[in-house]
Amino acid sequence: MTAAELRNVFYTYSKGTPFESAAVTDVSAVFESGMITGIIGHTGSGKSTVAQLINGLLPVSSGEVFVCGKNIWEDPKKMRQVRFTAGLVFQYPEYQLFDETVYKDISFGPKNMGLSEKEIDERVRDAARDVGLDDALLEKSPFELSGGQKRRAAIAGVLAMRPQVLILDEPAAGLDPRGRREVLGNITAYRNKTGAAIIMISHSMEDIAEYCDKIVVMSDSKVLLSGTPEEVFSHADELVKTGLTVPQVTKVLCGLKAMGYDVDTSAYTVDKAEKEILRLFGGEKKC
Amino acid sequence: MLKDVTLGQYFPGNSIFHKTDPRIKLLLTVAYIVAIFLAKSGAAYALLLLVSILITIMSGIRLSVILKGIKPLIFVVIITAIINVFWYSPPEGTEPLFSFWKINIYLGGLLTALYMAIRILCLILGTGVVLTYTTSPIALTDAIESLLSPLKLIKLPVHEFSMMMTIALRFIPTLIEETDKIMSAQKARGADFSSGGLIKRAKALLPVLVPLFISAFRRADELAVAMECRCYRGGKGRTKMTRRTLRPYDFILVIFFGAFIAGVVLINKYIPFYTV
Repeated sequence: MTAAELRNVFYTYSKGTPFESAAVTDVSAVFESGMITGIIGHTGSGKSTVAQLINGLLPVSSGEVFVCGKNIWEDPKKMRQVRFTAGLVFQYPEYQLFDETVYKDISFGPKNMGLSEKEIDERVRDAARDVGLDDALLEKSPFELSGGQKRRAAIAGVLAMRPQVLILDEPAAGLDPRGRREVLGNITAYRNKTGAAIIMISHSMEDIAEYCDKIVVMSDSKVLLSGTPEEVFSHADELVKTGLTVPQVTKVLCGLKAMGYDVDTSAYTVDKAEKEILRLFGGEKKC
Repeated sequence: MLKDVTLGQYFPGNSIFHKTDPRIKLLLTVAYIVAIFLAKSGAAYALLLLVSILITIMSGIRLSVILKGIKPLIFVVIITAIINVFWYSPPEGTEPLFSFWKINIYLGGLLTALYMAIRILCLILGTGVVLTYTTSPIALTDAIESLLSPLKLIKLPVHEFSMMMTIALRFIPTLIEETDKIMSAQKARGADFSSGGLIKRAKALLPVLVPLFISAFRRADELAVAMECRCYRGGKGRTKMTRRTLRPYDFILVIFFGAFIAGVVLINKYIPFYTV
């Protein structure tokens, strides 16, 4: 089911000043429920702008944005409702923590939704569990937490609104490998539990390849490629030309192909690549 | 939203004002303000307006940008003008231009109002638009440091002042951007900054101010460490990367503004029509 959609969306920053610049040009994309869609591209390719266009934080210059089947700009007064349905986690969300305790901070969103005390309590604890925060941490000040815990508390603040579309801008940026795995694992678990549509912005090809069901590649404010990881990574040449890269294992396979081996270069995870290489050279897995 | 505030922002360009030495520009701004307050006769005010518009055009800033910059201040100009119309106290025996109920409107009052409006407009165009739009903050503080450097003799920490000013100016856009980002993030969680009474709105800003303060302190710390790492130890013995020297167009501008002040003074004396 389609959860969010962009149709021929344009967006220009600082219109009418010398600083005018097109951030998004004719972008169309479909994001489906129960799927993790990755948006990948260079710094300045427009991916963060897309995130803010989906939940109406930025007004489209032209084009249409649909969330759960409704054009969000049809009735701008209901925009708050759209933001509860399409939850957005900004880049480095830990810098937006503000309240005395983690519990209060996570409850900010649900409180704004006007829910009952009981419902809020349930949602806060639920969201904290979703991101793996101990109940004991809930009563602490958010500023006492470690970097990774802060990040997860901030993500919980958005999860507590139980959005049907969850947009995350670089959720794993700046975390150590273990923190990355945990946060991305939490996100996948939320998808499995709720069937929400997840939109994940990243510039790590490895993360995108491992966690996403679909990929949208952006370059110079346009959509360059979109489709399943197999489809996208089979265009390795095009990706490399725009300065992006493919996952390291795909690079190995491309290298093999360049050396004249008849290898399928669409494998993008270590597991798949391993199978492909074993198929090629024969033999069993040794360890 | 907040990013749309343009007054006080620097717009890169290639006009004569962009190329002028910032020290000269600062001094000329002072001269220009003096000229504005020297004007007395109607003809002098006409000259003021003419010169202000001329230098605004010479600065090469786009009209839409200028209008956007002065739009919020038009209100101030109008209010000042209106107050001046009514608060004018005429010399004994002046006939009012017209009167109704208890209110007398005098020609002098109308002229004062018009002159006041022209004055404020010229001030905004000259200092707000031409000076700040064509001078980068760094150049501006450099110029202030250089102009104030004689005060070092009486042990005033001129360099430190200018460094503080540079840093403050440098971080205004950063903080505006940060505020925008935090507001967006809280809006994404349903925060509402634009409805409700004054107290409710003030309270709604708390989720923005707390993270903003924390990040400002964090930035200050990081900046201090970064400066320390590059061996910054204050102004003593510090040299500049760019040495500014005066060039021909600096002198042309000086002559131009000199003629302007002289013109205002002479017009006051010899063409004293509609003097208030």
